[in-house]
Amino acid sequence: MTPFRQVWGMPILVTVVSSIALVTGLVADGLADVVAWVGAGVLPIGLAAWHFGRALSQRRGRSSAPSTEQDRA
Amino acid sequence: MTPTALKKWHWIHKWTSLVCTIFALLLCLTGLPLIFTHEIDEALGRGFTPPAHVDEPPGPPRIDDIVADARQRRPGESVLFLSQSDDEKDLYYISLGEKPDALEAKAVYAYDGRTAQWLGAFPLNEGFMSVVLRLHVDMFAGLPGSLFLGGMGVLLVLSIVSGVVLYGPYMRKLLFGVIRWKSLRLFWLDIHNLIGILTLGWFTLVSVTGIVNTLSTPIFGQWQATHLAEMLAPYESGKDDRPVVQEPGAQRALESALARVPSSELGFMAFPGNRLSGPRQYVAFLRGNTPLRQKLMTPVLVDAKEGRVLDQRALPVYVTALLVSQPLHFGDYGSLPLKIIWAVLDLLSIVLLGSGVYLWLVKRKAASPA
Repeated sequence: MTPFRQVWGMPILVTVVSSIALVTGLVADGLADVVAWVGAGVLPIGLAAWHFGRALSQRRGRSSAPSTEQDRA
Repeated sequence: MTPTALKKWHWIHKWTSLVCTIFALLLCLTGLPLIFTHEIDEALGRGFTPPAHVDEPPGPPRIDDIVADARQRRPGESVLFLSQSDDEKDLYYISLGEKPDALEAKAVYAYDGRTAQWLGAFPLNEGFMSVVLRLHVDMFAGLPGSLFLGGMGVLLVLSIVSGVVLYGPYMRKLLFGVIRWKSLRLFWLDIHNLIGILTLGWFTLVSVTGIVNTLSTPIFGQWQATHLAEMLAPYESGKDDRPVVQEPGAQRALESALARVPSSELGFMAFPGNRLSGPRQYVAFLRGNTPLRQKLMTPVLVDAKEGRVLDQRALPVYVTALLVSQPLHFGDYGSLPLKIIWAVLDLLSIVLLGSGVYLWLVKRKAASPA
């Protein structure tokens, strides 16, 4: 992965998808509202929760693991 | 990015954030309950729901009876606006003020359009939610307060933009979403970066639409001074500009307006002598009946005496921008799940602002000689 894609890939994806989703929900009802919930809600909030959860479990794993494991991580 | 440029962006991010953070926090905290205004009103028994069935033959809404009842309840006052709820079609509101062109309503009454039955008075300027709303809209300082908050919104947008610029150099050697536990400062820095970049779209949208909303008074003022004045110009008599109180007349005026614009419904109607109407004319602001058109409006000028449509024009772009900004700011266009998403993103923004202040404090402490 190029450095640009590594840094900006996810941010651009999330920002573009959530912005489109927010506007989609405004111009129509029904399925468009579901698009808004998923694109602007589930995606960014889910990613935040997932990364935070992963960091939490890594920390727990590290503090309980023997020191050699820690070095490898 | 050169070290000088990085330093410059750092400076912009620091100062724009520092100046607006306390107000941004106020807006996030007060905005949180405001997202659920409708639900809170319902729960407190302050919402109005017309009965499901009435013993009344179906017919046009009894606007003239509603207006007469409202006038009789507040003798000496003038009807300012008639509006229709957008989710409860039988629910109508009438607002009254001291004078026809009063800026503030003294009372807002709810009516069942089918029976003209009075459903209750909307509580004005009382209760917790009213305090929260005023804090959020103008901090109890009227138009200057609103414009001030708009200015803080501009700083917030600058802070978001500079934050995005800084995100690149910060994350150059890191994986997306990494959270380091090595120190409290690194932990909060990573949280700040992660939340900031994930909520970028929403936070920018809510900030920009919030700025537009603070301009609602000048925006309608501009429309009144140009478009409305132009619509009224051919009907100016030049001598007697006292508002015509024609009774009954509102119902006929509304029916003519609705007949003129196909598949439309009432948003609100300004009564003669109002800021948004003419001295002898009603202006009915009609909504379309598709989800998007429901947010937009067409003003129709109606002669008060004869109930004849005089003119009808599309709203200029800047008023349309305001009308579209409102739902995008409130998050009330995608049922309850969207409101919950608004609330979670609002909470994340509070963490973003708080962590920003923390990072500034830590850096300051480190920089100052011990």
